[in-house]
Amino acid sequence: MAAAETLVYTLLAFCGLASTIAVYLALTEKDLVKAIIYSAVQSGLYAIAYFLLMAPDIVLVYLPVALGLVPAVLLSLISRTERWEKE
Amino acid sequence: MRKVFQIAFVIITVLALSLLVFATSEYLLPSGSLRSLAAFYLSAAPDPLHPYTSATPAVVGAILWDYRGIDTFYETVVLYLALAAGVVSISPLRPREVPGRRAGLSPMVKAAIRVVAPVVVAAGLAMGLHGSENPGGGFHGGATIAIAPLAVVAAFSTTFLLGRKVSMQILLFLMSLGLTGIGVTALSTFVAGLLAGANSYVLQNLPKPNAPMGFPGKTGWMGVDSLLLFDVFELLTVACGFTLAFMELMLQSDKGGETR
Repeated sequence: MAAAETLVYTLLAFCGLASTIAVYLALTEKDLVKAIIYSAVQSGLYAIAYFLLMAPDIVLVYLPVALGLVPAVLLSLISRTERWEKE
Repeated sequence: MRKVFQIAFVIITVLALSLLVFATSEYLLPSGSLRSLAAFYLSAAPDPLHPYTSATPAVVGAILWDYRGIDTFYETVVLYLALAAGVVSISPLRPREVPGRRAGLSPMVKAAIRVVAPVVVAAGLAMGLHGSENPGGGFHGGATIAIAPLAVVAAFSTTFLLGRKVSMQILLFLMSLGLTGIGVTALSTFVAGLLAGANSYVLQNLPKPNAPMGFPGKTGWMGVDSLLLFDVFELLTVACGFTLAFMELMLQSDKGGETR
């Protein structure tokens, strides 16, 4: 039981740390399409964290919105502007 | 190399903050009064014998549409107004002629979308319709269903759905129908109480000790409670709203971003 709890907390720590790195990469990336992918990775890690925290309602709404709708809208907006962020 | 150092700095900062939160967690826990509120919801919602029960194991759904239904109602109104105002402000919403179809993505992607899109819709429907008993609900199901037209538009072409009579007017009508349904469901017990001369409340789900009017609930003869109806109408509003917004965005993109 304690081992299972340790595993959950370890996974949570990994998701939190990796999502922060993904946020950093999304913020500093000049290729906006890659930035959206990093943002989606962060969202996916958050979804796993919410699942581990036993919040399935949040997971079910987070997955379609953060991994489907938001990247699609952002990609649509990028297609109307420019892919590369200028200095 | 510079990026590696920056990422290392991010990791060290996260670990330091985590350590700080862990060390001070004794003082950061929520107060006792907040916990008693949670304890009330967790004990009352699933217990069919509790006087303020929602008679459902889906406590989150019960809080969203029963105990704190007015908040969720206003959230839905905000979503509806934002989507409707956004779409109407960039589009005349007139019936459009369907322009020539673009090639879209590769035949393999199209074949995959043909298989996946109905599955996504089915999953969204299951999520929405079972939301009053399981994790999920109208917003979850609607947002999931909206992925299907989004994928279809991306794989085939922007005008693929327009060519199949999925017009902006129909989507706006269904979205409005969903919001109207939520309003009617919210008022139904109150109006029934007025007509019967009994005490009742707006957004009331099951009968309460001082308000005998209410939906029959899972144990009633139709098995209907307000949570199920709210979930169905919310699903309609969200699915049609997101589809409408995305189709309009894509159509504007195809026109080169020109607006009225």
